[in-house]
Amino acid sequence: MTMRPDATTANPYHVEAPHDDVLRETIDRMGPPLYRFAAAMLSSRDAVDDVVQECFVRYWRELQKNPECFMSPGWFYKVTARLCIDESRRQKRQSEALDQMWNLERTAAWMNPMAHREDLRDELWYRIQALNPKDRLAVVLVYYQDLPLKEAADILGTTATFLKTKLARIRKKLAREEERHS
Amino acid sequence: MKRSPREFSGDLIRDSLHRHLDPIDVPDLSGLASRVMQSHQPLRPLASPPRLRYASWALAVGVVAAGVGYSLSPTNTTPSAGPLFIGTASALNLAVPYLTQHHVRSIHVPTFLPFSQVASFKTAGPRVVPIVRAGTGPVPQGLIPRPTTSHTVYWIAISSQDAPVRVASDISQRATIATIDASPHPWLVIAASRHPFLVGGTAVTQRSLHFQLWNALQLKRQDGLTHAGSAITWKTGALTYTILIQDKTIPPSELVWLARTMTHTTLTKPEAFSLVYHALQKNARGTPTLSTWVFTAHPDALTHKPRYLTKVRWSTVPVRPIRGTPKQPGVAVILPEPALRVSIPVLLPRVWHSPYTGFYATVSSQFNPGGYSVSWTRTVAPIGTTTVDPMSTPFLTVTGGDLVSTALPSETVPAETPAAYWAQVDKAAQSSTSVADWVTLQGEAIYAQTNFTKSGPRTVLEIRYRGQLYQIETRGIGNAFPILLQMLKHAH
Repeated sequence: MTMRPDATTANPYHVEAPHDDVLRETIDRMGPPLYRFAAAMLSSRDAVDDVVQECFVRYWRELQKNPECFMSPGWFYKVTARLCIDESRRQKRQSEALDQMWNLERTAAWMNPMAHREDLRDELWYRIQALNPKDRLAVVLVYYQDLPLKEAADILGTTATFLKTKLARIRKKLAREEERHS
Repeated sequence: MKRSPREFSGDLIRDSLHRHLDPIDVPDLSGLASRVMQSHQPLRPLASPPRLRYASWALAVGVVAAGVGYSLSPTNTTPSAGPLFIGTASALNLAVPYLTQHHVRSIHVPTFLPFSQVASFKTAGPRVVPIVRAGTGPVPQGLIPRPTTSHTVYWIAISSQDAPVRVASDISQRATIATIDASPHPWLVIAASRHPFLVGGTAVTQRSLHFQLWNALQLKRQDGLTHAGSAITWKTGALTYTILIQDKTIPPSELVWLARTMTHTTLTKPEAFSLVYHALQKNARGTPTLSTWVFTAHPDALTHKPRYLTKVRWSTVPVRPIRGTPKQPGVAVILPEPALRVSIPVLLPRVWHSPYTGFYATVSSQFNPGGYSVSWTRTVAPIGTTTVDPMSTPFLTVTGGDLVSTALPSETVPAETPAAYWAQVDKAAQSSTSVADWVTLQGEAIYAQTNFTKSGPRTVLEIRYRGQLYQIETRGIGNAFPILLQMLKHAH
């Protein structure tokens, strides 16, 4: 036991509900990967903060209903993905502004041919950001979160076979976009 | 970076994403939990039987009462230094009616380590400090030991201020168990084993659970050792759990209650628990001083055994002196007859209240043996923090044992119904006089008295239960009978 003296109050004891600890532990564990996942989907830090918080609010509701519930990481990605898609639709105008920014940077890159090859990953990043939210989600789940196809398909509400085909289509599309602008 | 002429490779895409996402500075999420809990809208209350105002009070009374043991034996004339679990369980049986009624899984009994406190400030020597858990949520699963080889024994013993505290875990040696037996300090052993820890015993069926009870004569281990105590075992899956208590006078009903409590609670990880302990003391100059101790036990991660409590320590800090007295920190002289008070905040889950409110419970025991009282005050503090003046006036007070100084008067007239009694009270309220009468409630004879005080009416019911005299005092006039009815209903 550790002594926690508190001379300011007659009752220095503080109590929290035990599933508060579960929530905190879950946030510690899932918070950073969810944050980056949402950041891959959204372009605004505020939006990312809101989405991540909302995801844990939903988790907290589930925990209130059933203190012994356990949510897999897939559940968190699924909730976050849906929230991101909803948020993306509201941020469509902001995405268009991002494309304009990309065009300016492309111009700058042309001014330095030697930078073109090194920035291919940067170009690809902006191309990925320009994908529609569902395509971007598929790319992030599989290539950043490294989720198995089956699990990613479950989050997307589709089959693994369809997802595999979709990813191949996206890869080709990205290549075509890059060739068109190169 | 090789580039496919027709499509990008997955590795390139992966590399691109990591290049931009990995360096993202994730903000500090330490405050996120608080924001989540604050932003969460309260759930609609679950469908439940009509809940009376006092329901939670009685629940908390029972929760608190479960956590602290006090001597209730009427035969005690001098303070005893041994564990006296009887008082705790008896108080609980009388005062906790709502656990099963409301089917709230997250309500827990705060402790399965019901060491009692009998503070003898008249005599020197070791005293037992009660160690309890407080808060909502189930009992830590990790505190129920897992077997290693044949069995694992976990026990905790708390000595007094003057004696060292000993806490041990994972005891599986005969010599250690023999040491426990020989310990002058009270102990309670909880064992989980693949093989029965004890043999023989009398089977008891309690609803859907099956327990085996041992009395002092039957208490014998497979390895030949015997204990002078009481025990109960039950089987869950492949494990046999055993509760072994030093006190051999524990009645079977109390053991069954304890076992039922443990079987109905689950947790995912061990939790810290605390005890706030107030004592009125006199310093070297004879000045009364109120001192408060806070004991907090945490799972010890240093030993890589987070499931076991392996570290316990405590100290004292004088909190506030009585008005007009000089502050003398660190100096304490025990008053001959102090009012020992243990204060434990108890919080109820959100399904009960919106917003989340807490109840502050206080269990008091005068050092005169055989008495205890449980008082209860409701807080309005939000969940997460409970800071309540332990001296505030309680909603509900349950007093039993020798502390109940009044004797029941003889019943000379046929007992009335509660409704008839309240009719008397309504009439008397106009003239603010007291009312007293015998009332029959569910076949029990209860002596009721309602006094109209400056702070409002207060009703006291007296009932003899299991040979003990109990008083239940509530504010107002409408709560007493239903409270007592529920207590009796679940006490049997």
